[in-house]
This record gives sequence, C-alpha cells and structure tokens, in this order.
Amino acid sequence: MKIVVCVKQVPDTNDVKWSKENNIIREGLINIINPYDEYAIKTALDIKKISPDSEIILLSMGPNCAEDVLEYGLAMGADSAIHLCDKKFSGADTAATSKTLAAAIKNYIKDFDIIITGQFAIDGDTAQTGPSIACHLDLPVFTYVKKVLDIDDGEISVKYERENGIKVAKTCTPCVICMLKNTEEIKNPKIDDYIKAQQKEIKILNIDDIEMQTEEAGIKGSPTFVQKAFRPEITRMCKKINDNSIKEILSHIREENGKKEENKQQC
Amino acid sequence: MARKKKTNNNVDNNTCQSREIFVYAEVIKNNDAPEVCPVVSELLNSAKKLASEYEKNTKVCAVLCSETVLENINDIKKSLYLAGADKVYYIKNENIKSYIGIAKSISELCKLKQPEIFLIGATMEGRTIAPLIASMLETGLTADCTKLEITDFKDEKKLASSRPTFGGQLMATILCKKTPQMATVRPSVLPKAENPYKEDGEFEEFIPSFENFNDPITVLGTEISKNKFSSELENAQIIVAGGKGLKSEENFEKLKKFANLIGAAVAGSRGAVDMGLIDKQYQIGQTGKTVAPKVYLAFGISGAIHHMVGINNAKKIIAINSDENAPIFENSDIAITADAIAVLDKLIEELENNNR
Repeated sequence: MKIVVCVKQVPDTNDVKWSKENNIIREGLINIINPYDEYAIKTALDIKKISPDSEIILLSMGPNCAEDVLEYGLAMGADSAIHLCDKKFSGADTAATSKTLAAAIKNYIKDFDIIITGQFAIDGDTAQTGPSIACHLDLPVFTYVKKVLDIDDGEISVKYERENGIKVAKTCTPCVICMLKNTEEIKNPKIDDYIKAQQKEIKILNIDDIEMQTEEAGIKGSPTFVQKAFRPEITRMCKKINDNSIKEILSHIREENGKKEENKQQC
Repeated sequence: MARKKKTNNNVDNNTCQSREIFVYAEVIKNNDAPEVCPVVSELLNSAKKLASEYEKNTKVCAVLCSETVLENINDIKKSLYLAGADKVYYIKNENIKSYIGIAKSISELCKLKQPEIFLIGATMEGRTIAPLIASMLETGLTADCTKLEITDFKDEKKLASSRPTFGGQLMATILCKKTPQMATVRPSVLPKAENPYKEDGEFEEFIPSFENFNDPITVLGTEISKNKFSSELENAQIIVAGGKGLKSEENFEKLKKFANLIGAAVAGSRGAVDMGLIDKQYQIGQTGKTVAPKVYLAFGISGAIHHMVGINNAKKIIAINSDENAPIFENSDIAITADAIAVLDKLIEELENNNR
C-alpha cells in the first residue's frame, strides 16, 4: 500500500507577538508541524502496522524551512519525503495550493492508494485543501475522520464526524482522508529516530518537475486575495467588581435575561 | 434547458439577466422530519442585505439538495421564503447518496445559473462540499467567515468576506477574482431576520444530467448524538463556562449545579476539554463552537484569543479569574479577580438561600 501524507509547517499560533503597528512579528515565530498532520502521519503508521509492506511518502509545499517538518515526519516513521519548493508556488491560496499538491501526486508520485491530510491547519484554519485535492484528482474524500476502521482489498471504511452524530461509511481506494485529532498520544521522535531519518530521502521538486504551468500556481493561480488584515477590535468596557458582590453578579445576569421577558410582553 | 428569466425594465444590463446569490440550504435529518439547519436562516438574511447593496434585481436563491427524500418539501420551502429566499432551487437525483453527489449536482446548477455569490454554512458538511464545489467551478473560496459586506473594488462590486486567521489573532478581509465568489460562514454569528420576509416565492426543480455517476461513498450507519443539530449551546440565553482554573471534576460539578440553578447551559474552554472535565462538543472557541448568549460567565478561563473568537457575539461577558493579568479581562464587561471556585460556592449558597 502506498500512502501519501500531506503536511504543513505552521507558526505556533499560541505564541504570536504584535508590533506597535499591530502587525504580527513573524521573525522568531516558532514553526511547528501542523498538529492535525501529526495525526495524519500517525494514521498512516497505524495502517503500516497492519500491512507492513506499505510505503509512507510525506508531501509538503513551502519555503526552505518546511524541510524541518519533513525531517520530523521522517523521524516519526515515514519512508521518504517530497518538498515542493519553488518561488513560483509562493503566495498560493487554498485553490492554488491544492492544485499544486494534486499535480505532484498525479504527475510525480503517480500510483498511490490513500492520501491522508490533517482536517485543518491551525494557521489558516480553512479545512479546504484536503477536499480540493480529492476534487482535482477525482477521488472520493472523507472529512472530519476520527478513525480508519478497516482497509481490505481496495475498500476502506472510516468513522467520521458530523454535527448530528458519528457516521460509519466506506468507499473504494484510492481516496483522500482528512484526519481530526484524537485522544491517542503522539510520541515525539527520539534522537535515534532523527539519526535513522537522516538516511531517508527528501526530494526537492520545482514547478517543472510536477508538470504545472506558472499561471496555475502561487499568487498567479490564486482566485482569492487578501484586501486587508487587521487585529480584531476590543469593544468591551472592562468593569471591575469585587468578589464579594455576589448579588451584583446575579443582578447582571438577571438584567440581561430580564430584557428578554420585557420584549416578549411587548409583542 | 432552463433559462434565466429576463428582467423587463432593465435594458442597461447587457446580459439582461437578473443576478443571483446562492445560499446552500443544508437539510439535517435526525430522528424526526428533515429540517433546514439554523445557519441557513442567518445566511439568507445576510444574502438579502448583500443583494440590496449589489445590483438591482439581485435575487436570493436557496439551493436545496438532499440525499434523503424531502417529504415535507412544502414546509421546508416556506421556511426558506420566510427567512429571506426569493427563489428556491430543488435538486433531485436518485444517484445522490452522499455529500459528493450533492457537490457534483450543485456545481452543475452553478454552471447553468452563474450565480455571483455563493454562501454556505460552515458546518462540517458545508465545509466539505464548499471546497469540492469551488474546485469543480475553478473559483475561490473563503473559509469560515464571520463578516460579509459588499465593497467597491476597481469599479466593480465585490463580496468582501472577513475571517479570523492565525488562531483568531488576526482578521483578514478576502476578495475573489472569479465567480461565484464563494464563502463558508460560521454559524451563530450573523443575525437571522427579525421579521419574517414572505410566505411564498419562485420555485424551480433541477434535475442534474450527470450520467454514469455513481456516488462513491456508502454510508453504513449513523450514531445520532443525543444533542440535536442546533444544540442547547447555540440557543442558550445564558452560558456558564469553565476552564482549567476549575482544576477538578468535583469543581466542575459545582459549575453544573450553578448553571442548573440559574437555568443556564454549561460549556468549557479547550483547556477544560483537554483535562477531560467536559466533552469536546461543549467546547467554545476557534476549534469549538461559536455562541451568542445574552450572558456568558467564564469561570477560571484565561481567555486565550482562540477562546474569545467563540464568544465575541455574547451580549455580556462576566469573567472570574484569580489571575488579574488574565487576557479575558481585557475583553469582558464585568471582571472579577477572585478564585473562581470560591465565587461559585458563594453564588450557589446565595441562590439556595433565596429559594428556601
């Protein structure tokens, strides 16, 4: 079984610092592997446990430093990695990103059984790349997947989440699976794992290697663009009250809730 | 092939067609009759406002497409007109078995009708079909928006979709060069219509032509969760939420007791969910639910921006935290620097004494 896992390097959004001009200070931001992608790799490793002849290929698009997350994924146990690195890829929105990843899978990797992605990336939080890759490759996709239940003879069944409940469904491979995080612990690779990972290959590909046109990729291939970015406004007046003012707290609750009843009477 | 209606008095519009804004009318089926998701009313009302700022004769069209048979179609239609739809498209095809069939047939309708804007609720299904449709139509899609406006851009009217990004630390306003300009919109953020629009409107059935299409996904079963689609949190007037500061299950029980006494719903921060104090489905914030209660009481929640984006629309935020530098105090109405557990105890005592 050949498994492609798409991974992304993201800034640690828990640790964002602001400049006086209200811009995010990007220097010194720590880059980490998108936490959802760790579960994507974990899922691939679990599949490999059941079918040991499986091959796990990591795929990432990004600047030079994206190599760090590929090294991390290789240390986790993936077999090889592909780094899509070309200035022509930069500035891509989700549409251009998914087109680029799909082109690499279709034109370079060619044969595969499963593509696994994280459901979200914590920086953009769009949840769009996985389904879009599936669409470009004309493959079925499962989103919000909690668990892969079974893979057998070209058929895969998963458990996925919707607001009204958990669904169990099946489809045929090849297919795309977008993983949620779950409660299973991810073991951080040890130094030995990193040393072993150094023997594994990270292939660096450019736009020609994946047979893509310049106008389809990066900022040129992106239908959306950011008109402006700004810091969310803070509009609340922070009124400090004493912790002994229990009655005051309750009156604040009743005040708001009471208005509803007044409105009702007016109707 | 169905054609767009020609508008009578509009000669300067060179296509002579009325423009359309699509809203995906997601239908949810629990144990009872299928019903339209609450977010659809929010979207229709917003679409109505966008239509009035866009071009003359812009119609708001609800797009109904379901893998289940809609026996109560007339009730559903009426609820869509009341919420703001001028027109309802009803897509029917027996090959639709999952969201993939839904996405395929809606994109076919889009190719035919060429809507200017397409809004989809940022539910799990919405966030699954939207990127599929956008990719099929080769257009752009903005995810999980919290604000929609019409803006002038290079002599053109454009949809400006704003959304939190960087874990909620930054807002970005995004425009799209292609049509339809697509956006998924976070539930419980935009307001529903205060007064119902009208009881009736246009109706068109659409049968997608896709031949040889076999929906690749077979749903084998659904474990319907206890909660209905519009959970108690989204409709709650008062929400009492606990964070890491509550420390133990025992203290969380106190929170539930207090909530019960004032008739509030219970929720938690990501910290509380990670500690196993409350189930994930009650999590508020960027990766959880967005709520808009009249009063939001936060006990022992530090108020990281991830959490605050989920409660920005609360009318009043009351925060209790022992750390006077907790970020939640910067964005709350009432700030109480105190041990959250002790305050809970006092509140419960006060309420119980009063009830006696």
